[in-house]
Amino acid sequence: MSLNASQLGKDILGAFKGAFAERWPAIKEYGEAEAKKLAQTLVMIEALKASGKINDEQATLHLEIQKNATRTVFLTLEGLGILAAEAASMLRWRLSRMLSIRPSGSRCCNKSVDLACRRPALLNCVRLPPL
Amino acid sequence: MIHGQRSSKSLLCFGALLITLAAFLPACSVKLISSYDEATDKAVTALQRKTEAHLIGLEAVEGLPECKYEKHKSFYDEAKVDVSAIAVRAAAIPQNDITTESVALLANSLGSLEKLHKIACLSKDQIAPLRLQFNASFTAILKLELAKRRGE
Repeated sequence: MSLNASQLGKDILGAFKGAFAERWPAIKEYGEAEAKKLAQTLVMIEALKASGKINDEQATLHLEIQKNATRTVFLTLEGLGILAAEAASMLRWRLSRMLSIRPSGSRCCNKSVDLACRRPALLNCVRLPPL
Repeated sequence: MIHGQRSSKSLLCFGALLITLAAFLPACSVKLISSYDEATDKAVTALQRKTEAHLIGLEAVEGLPECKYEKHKSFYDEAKVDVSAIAVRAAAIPQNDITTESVALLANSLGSLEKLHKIACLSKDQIAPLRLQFNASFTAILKLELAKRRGE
């Protein structure tokens, strides 16, 4: 029974999605591209073995390299997911800082002098509840 | 009396410390993964070039006596030194576990490539999947390294 590259690619992609469900939108593009390539390579190794161009020992070594490449892609997806979460957390912190620095009615009124006043008016006018 | 004054002073100091911490803690940016490392980027890129040149060279000598492992031993020796240097540097950087593990996997793959070459000359049919696999590994390591720049 020969491997189907398309189905294999979907299976690998499914495994990636399952492992990184929460952060998938941030790493989707890279994950999809690599899943296809990894599936294609696996089919090539199977064809080499089926045609007798490589023996069992050689097939094992090819599969070892394949396993390492797949694991490396998996690790990178994990790292990209962590960086995406870190960036989202940083953005939340920056927004909260922007909103809390100048509550409405503060001395922030001279826009030509005070750098903090040059932020969008909406951010300056939000009335925050007391902490 | 003096003892009471001291304890209230200590309480005041503790309170001041807490307020200071509360004021400054939010300003700390939390990095869950190490920063971008230019030396790692350059060394991995150089090793990718060297590996690709090796594969192209093997394709060119397919079926010739020059394809034998002994004629290409220097590549494997150099690649081992290169990947070892990258691994040592990666391991020395804090919060760099993912890159460290990825480089270890790359070293293992280079070892398997050498074993394959020792068994027999590598045909173009074998080189095709090997090229894809090594490029997947190199791209993965570089992609993460570049992402560590965080828009800088």
